[in-house]
Amino acid sequence: MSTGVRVAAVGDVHVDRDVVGRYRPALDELGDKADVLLLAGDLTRHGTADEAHCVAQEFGNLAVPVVAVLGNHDYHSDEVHLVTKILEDAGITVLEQSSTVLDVRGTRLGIAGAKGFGGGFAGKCASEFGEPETKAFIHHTRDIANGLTAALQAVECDIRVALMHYSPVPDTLVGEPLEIYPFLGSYLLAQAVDSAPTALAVHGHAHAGTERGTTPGGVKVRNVAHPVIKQAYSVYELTP
Amino acid sequence: MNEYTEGQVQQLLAEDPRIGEQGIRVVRVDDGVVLVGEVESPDRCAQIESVLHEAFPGLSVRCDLGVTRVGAPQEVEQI
Repeated sequence: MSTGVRVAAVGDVHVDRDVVGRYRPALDELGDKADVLLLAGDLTRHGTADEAHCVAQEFGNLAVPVVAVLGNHDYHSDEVHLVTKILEDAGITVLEQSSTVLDVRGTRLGIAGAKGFGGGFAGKCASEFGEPETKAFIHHTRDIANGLTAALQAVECDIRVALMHYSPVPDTLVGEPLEIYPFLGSYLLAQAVDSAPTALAVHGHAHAGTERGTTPGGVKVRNVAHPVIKQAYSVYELTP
Repeated sequence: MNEYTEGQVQQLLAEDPRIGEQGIRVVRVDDGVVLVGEVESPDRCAQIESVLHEAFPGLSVRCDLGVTRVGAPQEVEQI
């Protein structure tokens, strides 16, 4: 009998009415396969309230706790607060530069989450310089990375997981065109992950990417974008 | 079919409110485009094809789009 904590994760499910019910057969098995389900952003197609209700219907009332971050699609309709409320009303915990702790058979699983943002990777990234739009772009990433750092460092737990939508490393982007890497993630997120003893970092967003990577500090990174994992969710077992 | 049309197709895939797909690869071929990737439902494949025919009449659009599988995993990775 395993004593580890089993973390299920998927991102980029892009739920709308045409998807409701598709995941349920696999989700009905979740209680036997995992202790928690992480949703790594892009839960909806356009970030509307209607789509959020579909997500709530599909991923609410599961046998395990569900913890999510939002992705860029979930911001598209400027209804983030409403989308978040609809998900939380369905029992889904939505993180943004914040954390939650779950008791899994006596082990405290800490999950710190943030959407993340782009900018690129060490030595080949954009900077807060030049036009206000460029400065705002990178400032947004830096703000989020700082918030994720604080959330990861503050959470008191036995096992620490970082949940993001954007990627912290280029490793898990392999397969995507190099030209769009700056829009897929930022090394500032990896720096946040490495600032605390993190066991696993999970992200989505890069549909054509690769599942496995590692931060410079040695933390394992998994891209769980649905088109990458090609199943309803992947399961990772962590031990304290 | 030139690069500008290729660019317009890719922008449309993301920006048309009936589509909203950023993960589809647009492959330029002699007489048009081939769309390669995965979406979340069969309806979306048909919708994408329909919107592109409407926006680019006369352009040959071939869809090589799959619907991402949603089976339960059979393996657990030890981290």
